[in-house]
Amino acid sequence: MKLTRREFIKTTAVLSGAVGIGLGIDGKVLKALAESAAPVAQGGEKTVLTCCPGTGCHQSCVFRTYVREGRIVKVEGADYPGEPELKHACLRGLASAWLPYMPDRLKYPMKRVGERGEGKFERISWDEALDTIATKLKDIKARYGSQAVSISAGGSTAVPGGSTSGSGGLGSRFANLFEAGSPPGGTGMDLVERIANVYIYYYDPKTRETGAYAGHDYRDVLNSRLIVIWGDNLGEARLRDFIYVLEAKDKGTRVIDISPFFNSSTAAKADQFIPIRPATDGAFALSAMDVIIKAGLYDADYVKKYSNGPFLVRSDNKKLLRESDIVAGGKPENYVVWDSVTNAPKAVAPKVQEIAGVDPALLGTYSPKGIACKPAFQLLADRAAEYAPETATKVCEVPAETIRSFALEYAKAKPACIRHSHGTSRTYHGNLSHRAIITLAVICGNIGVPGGGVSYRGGYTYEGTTREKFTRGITTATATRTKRVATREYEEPYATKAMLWFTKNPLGGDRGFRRKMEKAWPHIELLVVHDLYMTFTAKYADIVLPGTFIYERSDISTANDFVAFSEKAIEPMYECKSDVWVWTELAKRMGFGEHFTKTEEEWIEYQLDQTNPYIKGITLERLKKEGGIIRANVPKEWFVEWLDKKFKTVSGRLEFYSEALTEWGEELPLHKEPMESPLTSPLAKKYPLIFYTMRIKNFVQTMGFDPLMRELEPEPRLYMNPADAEKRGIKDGDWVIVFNDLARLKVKVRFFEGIRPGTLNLPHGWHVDDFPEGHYQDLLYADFKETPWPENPVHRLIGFATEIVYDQLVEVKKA
Amino acid sequence: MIKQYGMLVDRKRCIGCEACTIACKTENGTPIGVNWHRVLTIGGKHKDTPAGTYPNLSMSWLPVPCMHCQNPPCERVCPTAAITRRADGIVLIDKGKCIGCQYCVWACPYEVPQYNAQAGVVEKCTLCAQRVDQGQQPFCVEVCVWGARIFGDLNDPNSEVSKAIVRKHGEVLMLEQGTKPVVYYSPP
Repeated sequence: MKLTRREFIKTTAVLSGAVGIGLGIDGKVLKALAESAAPVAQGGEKTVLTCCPGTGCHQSCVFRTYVREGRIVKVEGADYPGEPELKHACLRGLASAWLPYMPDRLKYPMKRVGERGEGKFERISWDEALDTIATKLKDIKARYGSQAVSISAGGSTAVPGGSTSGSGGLGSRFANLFEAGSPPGGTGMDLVERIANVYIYYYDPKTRETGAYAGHDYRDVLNSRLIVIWGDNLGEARLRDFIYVLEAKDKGTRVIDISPFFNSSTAAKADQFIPIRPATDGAFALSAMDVIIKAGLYDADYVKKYSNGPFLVRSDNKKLLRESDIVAGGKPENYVVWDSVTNAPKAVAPKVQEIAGVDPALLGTYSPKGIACKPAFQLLADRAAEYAPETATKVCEVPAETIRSFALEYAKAKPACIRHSHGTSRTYHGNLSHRAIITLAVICGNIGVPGGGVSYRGGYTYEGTTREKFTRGITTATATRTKRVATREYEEPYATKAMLWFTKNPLGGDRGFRRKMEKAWPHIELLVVHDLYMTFTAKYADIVLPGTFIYERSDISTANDFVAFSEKAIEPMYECKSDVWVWTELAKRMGFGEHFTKTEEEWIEYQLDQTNPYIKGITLERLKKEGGIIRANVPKEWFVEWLDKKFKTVSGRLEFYSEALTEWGEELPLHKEPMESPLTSPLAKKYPLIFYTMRIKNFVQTMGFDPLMRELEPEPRLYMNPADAEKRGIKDGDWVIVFNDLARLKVKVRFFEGIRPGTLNLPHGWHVDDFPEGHYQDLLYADFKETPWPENPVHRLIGFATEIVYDQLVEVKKA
Repeated sequence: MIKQYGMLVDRKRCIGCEACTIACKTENGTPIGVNWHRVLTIGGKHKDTPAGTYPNLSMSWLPVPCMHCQNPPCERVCPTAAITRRADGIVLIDKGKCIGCQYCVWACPYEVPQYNAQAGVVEKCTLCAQRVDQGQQPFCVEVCVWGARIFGDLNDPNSEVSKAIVRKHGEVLMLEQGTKPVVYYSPP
């Protein structure tokens, strides 16, 4: 490393400057923390096994937590029996040792004394709080019916993969017994990927199966000959998974990162960074397919056997040709291929992947019984040809030569894996991009093979606990009281009058939600928030209840092929009480206390359902005796999705040609511009910049704002390419206003060469109080109702009410 | 044989995540504003920003613990002899003897010593001597499951760290300063 003292000082000066200044907007958070004593590990501590308090990264690490004199001093990754390489704690996990001691921790129950949202509260006793809630709930039920109460339990206090307190836990049990209204569906960040998956892997109108959605085991990248990270900030968002990418890279596997952002470690560690215009991944994938098909590098045997590529498609109506179309008495459910051996049509029944002696044609034009047809693969080739590199480069901005070299490399490196995330999909037509990416993997024979796949979460988490037991397994007459109806509750006619939100911060993070609630507040008679901190949402509550951290109670986790008992490490701080205790006390007051008679540990035992083969034999007693962590009864092999190639579609094949979507012209993947496109929307004249928010290493959603993270990253920054900034007279570090027709936001600019000109990125997770004006959620539409766009029928067809509205444009000016 | 503890930072494996920085703080309890460990970005002007112009960019990281120099300039300038080098090579500041004059802060070319205004003394990375004395690794090494840190005895040519320094072409920072650091860096 050649670095002179002079150069070194230059580098450090920048760094120490970043640490020394800007401690939050007015430095109040860090100032308060600087005054609180820091814990020091000095040996002689007791250690307990706990689970990570974070949930949004879905990695569910298990920790060894060090406690001295009733205080957590540090945490580290715990040893997994027999699998030492699973020991892991990322920076967020390591820093969580400080979380219980945050100065803005909720300390005791409070009631609102000021205006809603003003943040003025008065301390009350737990009895007063619970009695007030119970009385109000009974009153609202009598006046409006129980459905006027919406209960939403779950979030960051729950341990992923199973918990006594999570969304499937006691909150749901309480809601069912109360017959409460369901909260509105989640905003569905991952639903668009799932839509694409459903059409390719599952689509069957009869079963309407929506499928699990994870992808290959995260370690399976070690079996890959090429790793493509596509629209996924893997190196910051899923730090554990990234270890295996580095490991594979060390062994010589090439890593390609496709993104409009040079995302920190993901891009820095990649062998090649392919810059792409946002929301054009489909065009890029189609172009790669064009190159591969023309070069004859697709896996013809695979396509014939496992995809619907050989099925003949009628040119007149784009529907798949059926046996009944060409043979009197032929079965309407049977498909038809063109057999190259006999040069004649041949019927193929659903779920049949191979017929001895038949070699179905993939290319060409055929006319069985005078009906003009082409194999679906030929139609794909025709579609891909519309995206030849020289054409596609104008859409996706990837140089034609790069498209070509990527295509050839991907096709030749078998197996090759694609790791992706929301980056490819958060737009209205994101499902098309994602279908194109999967189709690329299909034609190269990369689905259902170790080292291949198109994986999202990476890692197979078994469902170890029977969550339904909490909601449906109740044996008394009240078991059937589950008339929960999803209501559009914060809109006309404002049916919802009360909300119980347990560890939920929708006002602090959900897009457009603050704006939406402005109209609903006059109709809300009660909002109860149970949380760890005074979140932005808690400020709007009538009653605020202090919740416990995972470190302050016992719980269970069933993830990463292990069952872990998260032992209570410290006594709850202040007057904080667990979800279990609160639901139990409320149930007593509501008159159904007989369904909440178990203790915390009894609920854990109740969850360890011994009829579940995955956890049969793993009891709480055994867990306590054997160090708190036991491998579940799951196979040792790394999970590979679709290894058996038994796809759950009607045909039993990978259906890259989707007959159901002909009506919208989407039977094959294609590129469609975002709803607000910088290229084609008139709006782009007024708002020329694409607005994105990415996840960074410091936070998971709005969780993880401990002092250590604040020190590393004191305040929000808008990542902006200097070329865009200079055009607007903006300098590095300037305060700017980001705005569109919906809202404005004030934030500091950070010059960032790693972002595509014409694009902005504001990492998400920052709290409302971190901005002197506005919040990034305000710039985004709350849902389709707020947009001028129609709901996407392709999403609707499979029953997903997505609220994907990341198609929005903005402009920036100096503040 | 006398031990000489040292470390290799494998910059190919360092992803700049700062788990080491956080681990250092929780292990050693340093207050906000005092950092015994830092991660520098070799790239653009700001932390975690790349060098170059879109899309031709590059970035890597340089984690900086105390270099535990074999010829420590901080030791030489300390007027109260508060800084000493142990037999195993760990360089420590005796806070009881430190008068907070900060000569060492000025002398160290790596900007390692940190003045703790609250305590009125200078502090720095101890290579987690409290852990090393119990046969454990420094906590920054322990938590780096990304494989970017290898710790051990440099005097033992067969130790993992010695072999890795050779295999991965480890180099020290600012060789020309003559400080003889024991923290080696392999190229990114």
